[in-house]
Amino acid sequence: MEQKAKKDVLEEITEAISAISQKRHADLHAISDHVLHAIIIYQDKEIVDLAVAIYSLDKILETEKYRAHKLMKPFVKKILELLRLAKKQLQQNNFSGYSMTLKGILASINSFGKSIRFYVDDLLHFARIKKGTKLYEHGLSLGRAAELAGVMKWELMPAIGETAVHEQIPAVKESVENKIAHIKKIFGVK
Amino acid sequence: MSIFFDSSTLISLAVTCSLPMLRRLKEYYAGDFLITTSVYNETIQRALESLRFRYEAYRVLELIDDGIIKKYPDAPLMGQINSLMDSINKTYFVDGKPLTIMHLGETSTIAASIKENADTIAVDERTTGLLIENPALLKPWLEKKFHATININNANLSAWAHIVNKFVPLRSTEFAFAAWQKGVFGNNKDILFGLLWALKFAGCAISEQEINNYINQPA
Repeated sequence: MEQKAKKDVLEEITEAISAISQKRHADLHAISDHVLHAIIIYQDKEIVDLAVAIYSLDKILETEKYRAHKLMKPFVKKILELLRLAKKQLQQNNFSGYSMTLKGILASINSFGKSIRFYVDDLLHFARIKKGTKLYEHGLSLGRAAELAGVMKWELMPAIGETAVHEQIPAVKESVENKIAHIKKIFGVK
Repeated sequence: MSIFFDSSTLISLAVTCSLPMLRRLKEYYAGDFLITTSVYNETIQRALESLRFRYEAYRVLELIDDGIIKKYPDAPLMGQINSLMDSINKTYFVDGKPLTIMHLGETSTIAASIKENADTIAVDERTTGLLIENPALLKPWLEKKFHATININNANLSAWAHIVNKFVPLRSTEFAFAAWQKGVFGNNKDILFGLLWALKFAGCAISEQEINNYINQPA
């Protein structure tokens, strides 16, 4: 991992630890979005995994009906331990250890989601689609966004269609008129 | 004469059950509807291996089996595809780092369209469409999203624009409009309105204002 990327990732992990410890769970969504810039610049799949983990934690911790679940407290304790370990490993340039810990965080989220029967069947996959949508929103092509997020284009397209991103496309002057004229010419429409 | 289809257009049409429209439109077009093997592998082959989109993949496959859409081998073009992809992926820079924005399938569609001097490129996703139509417009978009200055490699951008600016990229919505004009959906304009919105919800990069422009076109 590049030094600048490492610095960005460390900042986001520190922020996530602080947000979870201080029960500022709503901040996790913004932290997960901050990670996006690092994903696009460094195109590192482990940074995608971190964004997916933080977004999933936001979903779990922000859903009121699960807050009082008996498994929640030990889950939060374990996640905080793993995030602190990941931070330490990254600070020590122990990248293989960091990779293993990140996998452990994702596995913990996955198994916790299943054990509490979270309302989204596969939370991590759901998070990947959400992050893929954001990558597309930030200017990556559909194929590149899908590849980085680790989802299929088929999954990403309808998710993008549900957002307002295409309302904000920079207007190409006379685009519609050009397209109409061209399609009419191709298919012989009078 | 040919039209190359990107994955994004096939996906929009498949998930809205609108693929039969291509069968009807083909009656009015003497050229070929083509997809590169890279698009086939990324879109059809991958979906055939999944549970969620296998059925949609078979719908596209049916059009291929019937000769409505033909596969275009892009292996001989891999040098041009990689060169094109490398050039555009080293055009926009943030913090001194190049933004890798394009992917194999999309670039193969552009490279094949150039090689075959295609009539058009069918692409529903925004970034590729914009890169064909007006690549300079991506800079302000990226700056807005990154809250940072985007530096441009002007030589790469000019070379790219020179290569692709002969194409007017079309989306599934334009094909729907042509089909409606040809009477495929009868005279009820509300069907076209519904289809344009369905395609938008399926991910086609069209705005509400553009949909209204289509609806206000004379029959």
